[in-house]
Amino acid sequence: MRNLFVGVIIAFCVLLAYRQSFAEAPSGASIIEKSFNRDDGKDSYSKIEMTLVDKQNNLRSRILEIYSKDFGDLTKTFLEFSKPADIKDTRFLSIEEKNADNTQYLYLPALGRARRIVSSQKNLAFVNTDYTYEDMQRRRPEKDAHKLIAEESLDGHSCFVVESIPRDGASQYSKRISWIDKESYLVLRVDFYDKKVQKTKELRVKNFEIKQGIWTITQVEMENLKDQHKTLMKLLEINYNQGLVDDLFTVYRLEKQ
Amino acid sequence: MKNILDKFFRYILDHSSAVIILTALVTVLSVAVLPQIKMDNGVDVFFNKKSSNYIDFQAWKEQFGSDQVVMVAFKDADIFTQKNLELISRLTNRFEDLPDVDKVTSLTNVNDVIGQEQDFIVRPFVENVPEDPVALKALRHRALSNPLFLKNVISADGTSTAFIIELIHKKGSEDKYKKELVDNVNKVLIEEFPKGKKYYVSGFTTIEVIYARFMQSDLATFIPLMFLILLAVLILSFRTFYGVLLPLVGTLISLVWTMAFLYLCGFSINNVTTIIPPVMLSITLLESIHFLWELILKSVRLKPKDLDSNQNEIIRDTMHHLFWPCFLTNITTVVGFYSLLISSVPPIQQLGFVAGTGVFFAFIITFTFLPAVIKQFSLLRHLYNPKDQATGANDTELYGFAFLQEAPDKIIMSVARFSIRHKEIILITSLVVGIVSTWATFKIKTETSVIEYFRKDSPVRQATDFIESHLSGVHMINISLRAGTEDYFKDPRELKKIEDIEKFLYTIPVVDKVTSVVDYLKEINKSFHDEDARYYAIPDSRNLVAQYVLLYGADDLSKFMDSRWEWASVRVRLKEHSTAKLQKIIAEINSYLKENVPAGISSRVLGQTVLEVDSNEAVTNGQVLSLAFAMLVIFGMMFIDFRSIPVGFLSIIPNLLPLLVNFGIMGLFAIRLDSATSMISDIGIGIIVDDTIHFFHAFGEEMKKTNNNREESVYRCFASKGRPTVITSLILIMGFGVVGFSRFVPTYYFGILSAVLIFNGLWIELVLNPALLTFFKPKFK
Repeated sequence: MRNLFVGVIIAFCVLLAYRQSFAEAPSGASIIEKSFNRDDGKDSYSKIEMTLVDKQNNLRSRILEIYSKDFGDLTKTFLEFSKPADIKDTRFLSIEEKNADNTQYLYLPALGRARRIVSSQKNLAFVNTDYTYEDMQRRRPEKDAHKLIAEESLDGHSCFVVESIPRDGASQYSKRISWIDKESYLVLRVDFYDKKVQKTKELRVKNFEIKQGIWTITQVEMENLKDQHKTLMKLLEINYNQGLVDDLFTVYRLEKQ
Repeated sequence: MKNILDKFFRYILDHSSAVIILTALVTVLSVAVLPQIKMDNGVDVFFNKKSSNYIDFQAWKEQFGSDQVVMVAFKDADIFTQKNLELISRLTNRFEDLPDVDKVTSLTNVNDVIGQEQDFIVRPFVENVPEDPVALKALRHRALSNPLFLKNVISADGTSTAFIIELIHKKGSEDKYKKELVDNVNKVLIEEFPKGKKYYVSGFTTIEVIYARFMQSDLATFIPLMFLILLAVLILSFRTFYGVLLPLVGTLISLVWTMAFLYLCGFSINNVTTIIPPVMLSITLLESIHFLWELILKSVRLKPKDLDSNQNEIIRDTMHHLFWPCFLTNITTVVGFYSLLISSVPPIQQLGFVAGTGVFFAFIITFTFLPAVIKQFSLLRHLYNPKDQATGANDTELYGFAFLQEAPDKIIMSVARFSIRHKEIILITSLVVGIVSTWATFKIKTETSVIEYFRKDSPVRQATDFIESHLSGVHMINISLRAGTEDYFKDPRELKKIEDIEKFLYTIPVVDKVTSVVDYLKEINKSFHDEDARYYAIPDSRNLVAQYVLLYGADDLSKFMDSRWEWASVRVRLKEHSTAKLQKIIAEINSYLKENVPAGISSRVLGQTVLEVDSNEAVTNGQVLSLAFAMLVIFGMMFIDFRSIPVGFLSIIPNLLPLLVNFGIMGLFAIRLDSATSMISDIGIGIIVDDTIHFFHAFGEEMKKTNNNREESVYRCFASKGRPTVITSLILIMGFGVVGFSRFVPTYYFGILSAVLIFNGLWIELVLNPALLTFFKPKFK
């Protein structure tokens, strides 16, 4: 009799907890929305060490500096390589467009000329990394249908797991699954699935912390499972909200020595 | 020795039930492992996996990607029509969606690098198919002026186009996925391609898959056909239920043991080892037939009741009578097979070892299981037809084959008469035939090209020929250049050396297409200079190379350069199949590399083609060595067996001549020496020598009986050994002839030529021996 009573109590609690979790769980879309709109500063300057690891475990290291600034709803990014010597001063400007792909310009110092990079192939690799041009663009939440599929702990951080499926076919991926930290709303891991719905890439955040009051990823790794190639990025320096001038984000500035 | 054998034979008969049970047990266990035997479809089995060319090529594949490619091509008056381009685009998408496809390159999706005012564009060549004829014409012009497209995806005249479907690199995995992919590609083509329009499917993977399919169909043909022949021979020879059943069971058991042995050795069924079943079936059948014939001969004159009481004695007598001759002829056959172990081509070694051991199994079964079964179930009087007993007056008439008596015997005897009468003419003719054959032998060419395994009229061969004649060669070789220093090849001076290698390669007439990283850099450089043709050149500074590479996001480059820019690969497509000619070309390339590549850089010529060439050499060297070994051992045994040097020499002649004639035929009819045909002489010598052993032994015995009357001895020999020799040879000719139904060119020639060899062995034996023995008059001991 006593056992039955305990049983009923437990069953009731489980049911309650279940209902509770349902009631509290936000929708996939709202999580992605919140993550997309989280505070990452009005502008930022960062210095990054990028290491490329090929399947034989050969390492190649590059240093790049990234300037980024919000222009209303949209962001412009200026990127410059400082190491190694043969690509020093190679610059890259990316301007986010409202309803189109980013406009991208590249400046090659050996030619002394800037070119607009036009590519309809989203799966082209961005500067020989495991990121494609598509990966480099901020993906607006409305482009995908999102679904919260689980809540689980990732390296000790409690996360929402959200599945995002492109609404139109204009992506190189068939779906992405993201682990979003409930505290910081940073995306801590993304699994990328190709058109054949096979997992091809995995993005993993190795380290993140609060810098100048803003949650900041300090170490991240992108692995291409097919090519067994990895891109590691380590934040060396970051400055938020320094009031970067608009002129920095122009083609004119790109070509100026 | 005789005592030991006698004890052994008695033991077998006394413990007949134990022998039967033991044999059954081993057979059941053997049957159990048969389903485990793997089919090895790959052409990889022919390669020496320890050679540096093989090992380095594996490392190359790890770096630059799988060599597994399916190629699809088609032809039309003009490829640049809206209809054709839409078809190409649709097929490209369908192919890309297939499982295990890594990448598809076609005329519509091939990367096009465009420099336009302020823009730098990398995009698929045809994104939206234009309707406008002017736009189509512009596309045509642009495609035909891009060296990276030409001969790869479009022919120079714009009438043929190709799809290159690359498979994902699967290390050491089963071949099933390749078969599925080729099937899927064909399915897509059937669905999408307009009815009546022809298309061609080739490429290395396709060739491999069809190769495997042919192999399986070979096996499916050989075994049932062989059984039909076996059955026919047995029914005609014995005409009794047990006379047919016993040899059949004995033969089957040896075959099962042999195939289980193949499994236990860790071998698989490949293009060469498929020959084992039919060849084994015919060789082991002979063993059983011999045994039964002798038994019948010994028992036929006895009354049924005496037969039962004397059963053990008759069986033992037969065993005694046959043991040594069978042992000897078996040993020669085994030596013939084992001599193949000298070859460095793995499947040839495997065939030699397994079939040689199989012959030995047949011997064991004939002298243990068969007598045990006959004793256990008192089968002696069920082996022959009672009618034979009534008519059976003399030995030779009774010797099996009542259906084939008078006429063949007459012919055989007249052959003997002719040979003795015209011995000088026969000897001189033989000498001339021998000399002509020797001369023709030197015209034999070695060829191990895999594509030439297929007949000219087979679809895959036609597809390959189409792609070779309209686009470029299917054979690929890769020049691997490793510097060991990071960014070494970003130096324009080093790139210039790669360009020089390309230029040199184009001076070789059969070279169709050479591609390296240099071609991509030139194309990008031109695009960055507003498509100015003058800038179709290597960028002039290391930094510019580095910056172009940084920018060029397509993964095409990874096929030609590693990520550290220290390991470059130059891909060469050739129109040549002949491994003999390719061997010269590879040597030429190697000597160029030796002279022109700086000392610090390791340069190698690698690829499937190179391995095929290597196996070419292995086949030739192996042939000479293993044949020399087989002849040395077998002829050595003849000297020991006959205990006479003159007789030994004479016994060599009727065996050497058929071998020479066979090589002569290969030389005259341009039949190539390859992994299959190179085995004929080794296996053949072990078999045809048996007739000589039988014949010479009989002749020696008759000489004693006739008081050294040579001519009389020859006639007696012919009377007793003539018909059995003809019959056994016919069985062997059929057994090897079955292999002639193979869909593979080399296997087909193996069957036909082996049958021809045994046929020549037979008539040379019959025609030449009387002449030899009556002309040279050797003394027998």
